[in-house]
Amino acid sequence: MAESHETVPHETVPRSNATRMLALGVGVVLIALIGLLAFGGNSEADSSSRLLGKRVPVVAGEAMLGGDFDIDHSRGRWVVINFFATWCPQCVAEHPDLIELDEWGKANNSLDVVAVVFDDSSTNIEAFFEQHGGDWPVMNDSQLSIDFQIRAVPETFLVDPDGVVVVHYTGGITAEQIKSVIQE
Amino acid sequence: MLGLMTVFLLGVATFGSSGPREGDERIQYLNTIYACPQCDGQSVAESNAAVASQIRDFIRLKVNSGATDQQIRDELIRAYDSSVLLTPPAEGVSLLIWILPVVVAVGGSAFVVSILRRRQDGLREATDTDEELVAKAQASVSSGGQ
Amino acid sequence: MNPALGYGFSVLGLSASVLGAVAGAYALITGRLHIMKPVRQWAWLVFVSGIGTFVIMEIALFQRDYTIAYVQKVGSSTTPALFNFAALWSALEGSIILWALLLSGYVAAVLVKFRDRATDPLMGWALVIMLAISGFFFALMVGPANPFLRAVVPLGFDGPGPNPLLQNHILVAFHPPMLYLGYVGFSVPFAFATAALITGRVGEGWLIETRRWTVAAWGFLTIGIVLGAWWSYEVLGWGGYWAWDPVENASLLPWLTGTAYLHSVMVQERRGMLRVWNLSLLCATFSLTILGTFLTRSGVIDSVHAFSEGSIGPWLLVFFAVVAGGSIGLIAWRGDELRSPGAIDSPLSREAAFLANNVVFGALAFVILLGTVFPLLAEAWNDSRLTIGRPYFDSLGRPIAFVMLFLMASAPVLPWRRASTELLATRLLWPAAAGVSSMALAIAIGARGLYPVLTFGLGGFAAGAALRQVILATRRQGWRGFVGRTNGGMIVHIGVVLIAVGVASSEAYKTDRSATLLPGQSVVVADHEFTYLELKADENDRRQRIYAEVQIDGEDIYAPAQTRYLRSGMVVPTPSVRPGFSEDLFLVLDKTPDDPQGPVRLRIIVRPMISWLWTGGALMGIGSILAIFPGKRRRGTEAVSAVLAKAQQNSEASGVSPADVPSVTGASHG
Repeated sequence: MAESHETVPHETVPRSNATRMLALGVGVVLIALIGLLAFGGNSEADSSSRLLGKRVPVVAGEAMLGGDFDIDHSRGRWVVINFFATWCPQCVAEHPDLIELDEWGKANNSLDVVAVVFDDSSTNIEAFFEQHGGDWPVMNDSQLSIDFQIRAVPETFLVDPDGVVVVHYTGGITAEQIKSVIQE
Repeated sequence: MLGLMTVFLLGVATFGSSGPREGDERIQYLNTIYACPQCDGQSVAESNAAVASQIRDFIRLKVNSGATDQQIRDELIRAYDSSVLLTPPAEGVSLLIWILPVVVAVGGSAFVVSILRRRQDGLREATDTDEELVAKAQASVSSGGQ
Repeated sequence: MNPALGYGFSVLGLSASVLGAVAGAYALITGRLHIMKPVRQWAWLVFVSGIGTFVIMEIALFQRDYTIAYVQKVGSSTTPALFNFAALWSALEGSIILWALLLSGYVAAVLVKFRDRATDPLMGWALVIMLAISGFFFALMVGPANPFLRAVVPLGFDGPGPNPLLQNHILVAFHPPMLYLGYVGFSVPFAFATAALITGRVGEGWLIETRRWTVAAWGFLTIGIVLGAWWSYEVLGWGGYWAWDPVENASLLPWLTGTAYLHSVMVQERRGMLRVWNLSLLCATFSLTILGTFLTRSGVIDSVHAFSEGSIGPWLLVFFAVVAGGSIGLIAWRGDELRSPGAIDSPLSREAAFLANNVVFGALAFVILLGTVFPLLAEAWNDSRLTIGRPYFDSLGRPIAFVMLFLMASAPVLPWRRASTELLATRLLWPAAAGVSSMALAIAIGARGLYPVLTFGLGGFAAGAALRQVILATRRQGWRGFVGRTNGGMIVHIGVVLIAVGVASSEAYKTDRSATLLPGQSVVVADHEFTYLELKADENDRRQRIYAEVQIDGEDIYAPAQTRYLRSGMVVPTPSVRPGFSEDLFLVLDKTPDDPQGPVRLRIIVRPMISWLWTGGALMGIGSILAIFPGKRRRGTEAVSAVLAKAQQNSEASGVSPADVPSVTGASHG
């Protein structure tokens, strides 16, 4: 009925059509958006480390509590690389297991433990080892946490005697877990 | 006059600040463009997460050892994939996030211009309903509003 | 007892909403308008149900009635009363109760306000729409998000309490209700807009009916967002207030379209133009509140404050599809009726400025929506995971914000219809001088950098224009110069300027340092000396707190803490802030040593003028209230345009130029 009152110049496109076309366009975008929201976004991030099965990145340099470490010198032995911090309760909890592993590894010359500090200060580390014991090289190098793609601590890597990363643990470990892999 | 002063003041503001980013300023800047991998889109500069702090240390280490921005970027992407970038690389499908806003801005402006040009279109007569509504609305407005 | 009562109220709310909506629609379609009277009674029952569910849940929370699963989830015997009250909306099911309560409150308010118009079809359809919306939320409560689900109570059970982040700051009691009042409030103008489309009464009537409702909803949403930013700043401990997080973006989207609407609606009221556009903006605003709820509640997008994820995602998505799709369909259907009678005479006019404003707000909303959902698109496209964060939003948002500030400065001095450049030059002289002086002042006290200084300049310009309006209005009308939409709007503008200046300086001149300190050591950051005194701890039955005493400039002692909530075992940082007019000193206890004598790591953030944000937010709230009060009465003819535009067109045709029509050009400026 509004049309009957119109005095539109005949060359103009009737705007009601324009409105409909626009509505149609917006509708199509809307359907696409809804489809995206309905079916997108459910895939989980692949949390397995891309280092698995690869050669271990270089871990070498001056250790914090004295001495040097170079992972190449551990060829022929297994290596446990443990990323930790003293403020992390799970790291404190797994410390005795690392001590057990380290002593076991030293006893039969089959395994080295090396720890890498994740966001902590050297004062805390020294106090921590004094209090909780443990005698293995501790590296403090943020390059390592990037090379090993660490997101949170504790994370632990097990490297086989050929220098290949075989297992990646996120969260605390036990000595038994590691030993059973090695003894397989 | 005011225009000239504006140009002058903005000039002072722009060139009064230092040139290319160096040292701490560069580190601060780099911290703001990488996402903390554990915190849903916060930058490593903002986040309190340990991994953010570790990446800040890493960036400082790299900058101090003379690495280029590109090298730092490559290493971080290798470690945490390209979701570590807070702005996706302008390539492939990600180009859309830059193109679409421009399309919308240009389209919107074109729409406004078209409305401005439509000055002399015919007018619609008010319908009876409109007249009635006008009367009602006027009544409500002149009675002191709602 | 409580579970049964609560569930009973949910079922009552659902039944009353559905029956009311169906009966109302039947009455309106068949013209049996006498049925509308019982429909109003159904609507009152909805209100009763909304209150009922809320009250029962609060009672259950205070009684620690663990026979309700939700109370098991968020209740605890140790939560203090305030946080226990706020625990209602600390997780998904409870926040639906809050939503339903507020919606049924708005239904009641509409019933009271329009009580004389029970049989008016426009009013009737609006009520039907609101009942349909409340039906959806009560359905969620009856079905997929039932807050009154029973649970078995293990012997001696005590709950974990709400998420620690939701029980350590008083703002938790205010931010969500305000935000929801805003979200839900937009359902009123949305209902009227839809009713106008259904009845075909798409003139300006419905706009004027809902004008104040829209301003109120917008004001609530504004305050809700600002309080949310403040809460983030005080609680989350990263020293910022806005992270461009999906949840935050979801609240900003309806705010942007709502703001665009508040401006463009004036064009329609005055000139009868932009009908389709205004309807679309309102429908978009309400749809975006639903979309925002979906984004934050479904877990489809990761967010730092997704406190209440649940399984109602598909329901919300379907509801969003119905709301958005339905509105688009209605607008397309009524396309004919929506042809507007007016036309814009000149690009130098208030209406042209409002159009530009709308493009800018629309563009910003688009950018934010795109940035928020694009990671999903990329993932669907080629399975790539990407992040879109602050640098993207900043780089596109900044130029848009500059244009907004510029429009904010120039639009208020522009007359309707047409302005001459001389007029503009006269009116803009003082605001422009204010802008240039604020830049000069900023540079004189050492501010550098193009973006912040430009913000100060445009901010001064916009504030000058707003002040000019308020001063002219108060000079003319006394205290009435502060009230009414235009004057209240100018107060809001000044609030926006304060926020813009606060954002620009707190971002550009921020100092952020980490310091590892032994007891007694000091560090100087941004000319302040921070001395770490000692590490202390305290404990109550709810939480353990380790805090570092830090003395600032040898004076007051501040105590940033790490707080461990015993029930949930979660540790959250509790920052300590020394607020100030010119700068905030923000302390976070980042790392605590095992040994109390060991070094702590503090994060010290100095942010200039951040308190201007909260002040600006308060001013925006005050401005909204002032805008709701009726201003100086305008000439009646100006409120409505369909006839007016015609009349003016005629007078134009007969040789009277618009500039000669004082009632139009001078209307709001005298």
